[in-house]
Order: sequence, then structure tokens, then C-alpha cells
Amino acid sequence: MSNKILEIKNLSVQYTTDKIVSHAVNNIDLSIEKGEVLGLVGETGAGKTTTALAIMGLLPRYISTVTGEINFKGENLIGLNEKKYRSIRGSQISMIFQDPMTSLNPVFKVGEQIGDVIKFHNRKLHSHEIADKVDEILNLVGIPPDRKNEYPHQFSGGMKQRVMIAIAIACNPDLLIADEPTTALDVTIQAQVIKMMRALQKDLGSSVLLITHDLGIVANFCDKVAIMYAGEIVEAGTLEDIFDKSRDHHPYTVGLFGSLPNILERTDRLEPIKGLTPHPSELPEGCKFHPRCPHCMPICQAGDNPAKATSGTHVIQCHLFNKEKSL
Amino acid sequence: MLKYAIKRILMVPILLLLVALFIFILLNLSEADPVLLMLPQEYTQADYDAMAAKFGLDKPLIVQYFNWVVKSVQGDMGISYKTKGPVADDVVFRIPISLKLAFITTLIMVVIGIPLGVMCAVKQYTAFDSIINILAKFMGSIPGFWLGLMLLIEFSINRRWFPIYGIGTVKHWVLPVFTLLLPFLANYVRQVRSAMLDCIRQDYVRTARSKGAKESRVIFREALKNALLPIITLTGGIFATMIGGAVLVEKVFAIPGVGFKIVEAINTRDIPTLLACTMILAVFTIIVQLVIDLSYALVDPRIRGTFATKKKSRRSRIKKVEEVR
Ligand SMILES: Nc1ncnc2c1ncn2[C@@H]1O[C@H](COP(=O)(O)OP(=O)(O)OP(=O)(O)O)[C@@H](O)[C@H]1O
Ligand code: SF4
Ligand SMILES: [Mg+2]
Repeated sequence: MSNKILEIKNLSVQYTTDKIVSHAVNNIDLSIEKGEVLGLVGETGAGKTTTALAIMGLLPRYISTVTGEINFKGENLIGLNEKKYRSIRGSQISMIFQDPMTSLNPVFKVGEQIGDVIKFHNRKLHSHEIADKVDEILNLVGIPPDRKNEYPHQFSGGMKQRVMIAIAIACNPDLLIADEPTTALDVTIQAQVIKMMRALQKDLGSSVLLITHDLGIVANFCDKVAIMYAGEIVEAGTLEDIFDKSRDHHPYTVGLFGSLPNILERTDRLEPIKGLTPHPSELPEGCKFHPRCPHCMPICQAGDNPAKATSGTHVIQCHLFNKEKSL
Repeated sequence: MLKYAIKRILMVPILLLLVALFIFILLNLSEADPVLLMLPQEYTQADYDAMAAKFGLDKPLIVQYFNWVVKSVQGDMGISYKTKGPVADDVVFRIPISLKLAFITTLIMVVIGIPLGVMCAVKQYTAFDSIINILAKFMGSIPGFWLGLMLLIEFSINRRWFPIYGIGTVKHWVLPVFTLLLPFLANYVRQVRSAMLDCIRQDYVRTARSKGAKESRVIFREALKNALLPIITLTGGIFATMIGGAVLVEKVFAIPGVGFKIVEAINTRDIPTLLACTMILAVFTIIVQLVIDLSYALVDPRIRGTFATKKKSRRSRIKKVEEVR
């Protein structure tokens, strides 16, 4: 059964800055199978990027602590020695970052920045072989290869993100992490980039962890979805599990869908979830969502996290469903 | 790039003329009448006129300026009010001395300061960084004049390791360079550190790591090349400052440099000498600025960009026309 590329168990990440401890990620479990696309959805500050950086082993040193397991192809990455990790980064796991404008180095040629990642992981290749490979990859992401000698400032935002994608797929990674790859782009360009990523993912057969706020993208692209709130996965399941309105849902998920504009019912106002995400240094007791939850019960306000209610592939962490099931 | 360089170089003489005009007017605005300064207590109007005529001071300011420019270009920087000899004789030989002091000091500062600053940035939050930081603050606050005197007393007078004054041998330069270096180096390390920290925090550094780059490569290639931009400006500025600004060191170690002469010329109101020295400094400041700008363009494609794209677009247009055919 274990076709699992990535299996995260009980992962927690804390940041400590100026003696303040932020619990950015709290005991999450996630798994991605070969060729599967998992969408990780949540509001800003939920801990999505932190989760991604933990997988990459790129959390800021000195100020972050990681506990739990990140099993990648059966090997736990936490505590892996730096040399070994380096050989995985960029070749077996790669990442596309949130902001393409700042993620490319302004003083190196675009082609060089793509070529580097190939060079790092294929020491024996000749420079002309690398150059050929760069041309090939640029073609794949829809950039004319003769632009490889240009610098990032000569590229538009969408083109830069294509370059980032080119860097990420250059070594055919088993796992591609895309951290809000389109948030910084225009809507029309967003669609192009997502379409291209989907086609590439199908061709290359990589597994993808797609981080996004955009439920539309999730519906179009993902096989599985995990909803993240205050560093926890509050609901997870297949696309149908999450998007089927007739099924049970975590109140936060309901809120997320409620805050989407509905094309059929014309309303002037969106209906965002009331209140703000708690700061990870001051998380509430009990269910982290209780201060904002319309169904909040006494049991939700204290003690441990609600237990997880599982039905098939669908997991919800909320007392509402636990009670029903235990009754 | 070449076009940019040529354009910048062509601007140098124009800049110099403007700077000269500015300094010329400023210096001649002072109330003291230089003619009176040079005349003995008792003088006649004829003496006054003769003296004024001898130094060209009877003509309108703008004509004086014009004459001065024409002569300076030919290497004649006028007659010193004080020595009554040619200014050039008293000033030109000082240029290589000041340059040498500034150059050696800057070179050592760069060679020590950049690695140290980079190390501090990389090891931020560690004891190494804190210690260097405290040390730099301490060094930076030692007055150069006092430091020079102490070194001179201890190592030249008491221990006789180094000569007391003069510029003949390598040994002569050790204490002056060290005295000049220390406060600048202290400041330099801290600035390199902060320039480097700015770059280490950038997203593209994270991208480089995510590609599997070695840490040394991430620091010395991806981050340092970006940090070079502010570092170049800083280094150039310090070098230019040192050429004319090493007055105290020159005084303590009796080095006949330009800075020393400037102070003397100010005290004696020797305007031609002052003018000559100031112009020399201006020339070097402008040259340094030129070098800074050109190396900026070398390091940063965005600056080069404005010129490159123009050329490129023309080329690609030609290519398109050919394709159409
Ligand atoms: N370097 C850091 N030092 C301290 N706290 C941090 C650091 N990086 C992130 N955090 C905190 O951790 C929490 C989670 O941040 P993270 O970047 O993972 O959120 P996110 O879900 O990616 O949000 P967004 O949608 O805005 O990208 C935030 O509250 C943030 O303040
Ligand atoms: S556990 Fe309680 S507070 Fe939390 S989401 Fe469920 S009902 Fe709301
Ligand atoms: Mg993020």
C-alpha cells in the first residue's frame, strides 16, 4: 500500500524570537502519494509556509525548533545531515516560492539560475549539456530559450514565476512544493500559470503540495485537500470529501466556503469569518477556532484539542462530530 | 556599457569646471583682502596696485576664474601668497604621498573588513558576532589623534621599533597606516555586516538554498555579489575621504600630505594653495565616483540594463526585419 512519497507525523514547529514562542505548526499529520496533488488551504498566518520550509529543511536556524517526523520516501528528514539534505533539495524535493518578484537573484542571468540547480545535482555534466537542458526546460515552461541570457528585471511577474517553476522542475523532483505560486500575479496570468503547472505535473508525474488561499485553484488542481487553521489541520480529505456540501464539515471550512463570492446569488458583501486568526504566540485553550466558531460549546473552550473524527478518507477535528459519532 | 562609460568619462571635465567655479567663488567671498595680507604694514597705493596686479587680483572675479582655469590646465596653479613661489612646487609632490597612504590603508581595510563583516553576518546571534561588534564599537570610538600619539610614544620613542617621522621605508608607514586604519576599519566591518545581513535575508538566498547550493556558495556568490553594491560605495567614499582627510595622522607622523597642507593654507589664507589642494581632492573624488559608478554597472545588470536593452531592441528589430524577408 505504501506508495507514500511524503508522510508527515505529528509535526510541530516553534519560532522563538525575543523570548516569545510562536507555535506556528502544531502536531500536524499529512501524507501525499505518488503523483498526487495535495492542496493545503488556510488563512494568512496559518502556518502553511512554515510547514513547507520544514519539509525543505530551510527553517531559519537558531530561532526555530522542529519536532515530529517528516518521512520522505521512507526516510525521516528531521535531523538529516546537511550534506544529505542538500542532495535532496532541488533534485528530489523542490519548492516554488510565494513571491516570484524577489525569489530570483537580480544579479545573475536567468539561464544561469536554472543551470545552477542542474549543475549542483549532476556534477559530471558538461556546460554545453547543461545549456541544452536549460533550453529544453525553458521551452517546457513557455519561455523562448534565447531569453536565457537576460536578467530577472527584464522579465514580467508571470515570466519570473515560470522561471521559478523551471528551476523547481529542472531535476524532475518527486515532490514539488508550490507555495501560493500565483497570489502575486494578475488574475489572467494566474490562470495561465496554473494551467501550465497542471500540464507539467501530469507529464512529469510529480507529487505536489500546493499551498493556496484560492479554493477555485484547489477544485481545479488537487486530489486531496487539507484545511489548516492556527497551525493545525482541522479538516482533511479527498476533493469530494471537502467540496461536497451535503457532507459534514468543520465550522472553519464552512466559513471559508462562505467567504467565497457566490456567482449565483448576487450579494454586495462577502461573508468573511468573523474575528481574526489568533497569533501563534497566544493560541486559545481547547479548540483553537472556538472564539470565532458559531457552534462553540462549553466543551470546546478548555482542555485539549478536539479528537479527530474519521470516516473513510475524511478527517475532521471538531467536537460536533465526535459527539455524534460517540453517541 | 561602453557607451555608458564614455558618457560618464566625458562628464568629468564639465563637473570639474563647475566644482572649480564653486570653490573659486566661495574662497573669494571671504572678507579678508589677500593683497593686504601680503603687503607690509606701511604701503602706498602704488604698492597695493602693483601687488594686486602681480597676482591678477585687480581683475573681475570671473576673469580671474577664467585665467586660473586656463593656467591650471597648463599645470600652472598660480603663486602662493605665503611662499611667493609656484603653488605647484609645494603641492604636486604631496599627491602621491597622500594617495599612497589612502590606498594602502583602504586596501588593508578591504582585505580584513570584508571577510570579517561577512563572517559576522553569517554568524549573527553567536558569540563571535557579539565580540566583534563590541570590539568594533570600542575601536571606533578611540580618537585617532590620541591613538597615533600613544603608538608613537610607545613603539617609536620607547621601544624604537619604528622611525619617529618621515616616509622613506616600509617601517615608516606601519604606524601611520595603522592609526588611520583602525577607526575606519571598525566602522567598515559593521557596515559590511549590515549590508550582508540585508542580502542574507532576501528571498533569493532562500531560493539558492532550496536548489541545494552549498552554504559557502550561497554566502559568497548569491548574497555577497548583491551586498557588493553598498560595499563599493562605502569603500570608495572612505578612500576619497582618506586622501584629504588624514590631517591628524599626517600631523602626528609628520607626513607631508595634501590634508596637512590644506589646514596650513586655511590658517594663512593662502588662497591659491588652498584652491589647488581643493581641486586635487575634487579631481580624485570625481574619479573615485566614476569608478564606483562603473563598477556598479558591472555588478548590477539593472543599471547596465537601460543601455543594454536599447541596443538589444534595435538588434532584435533588425532580426525581425530579416525574418520577414
Ligand atoms: N521567521 C519567523 N520568525 C518568527 N515568527 C515567524 C517566522 N516566520 C513565520 N512566523 C510566524 O509563524 C506563523 C505562520 O507563518 P507562515 O508564514 O507559515 O504562515 P502562512 O500560512 O504561510 O501565511 P501566508 O498565507 O501569509 O503566507 C505566523 O504567525 C508568523 O508570524
Ligand atoms: S470544536 Fe467546537 S469550537 Fe471548535 S470548531 Fe468544533 S464546534 Fe467549533
Ligand atoms: Mg506563506
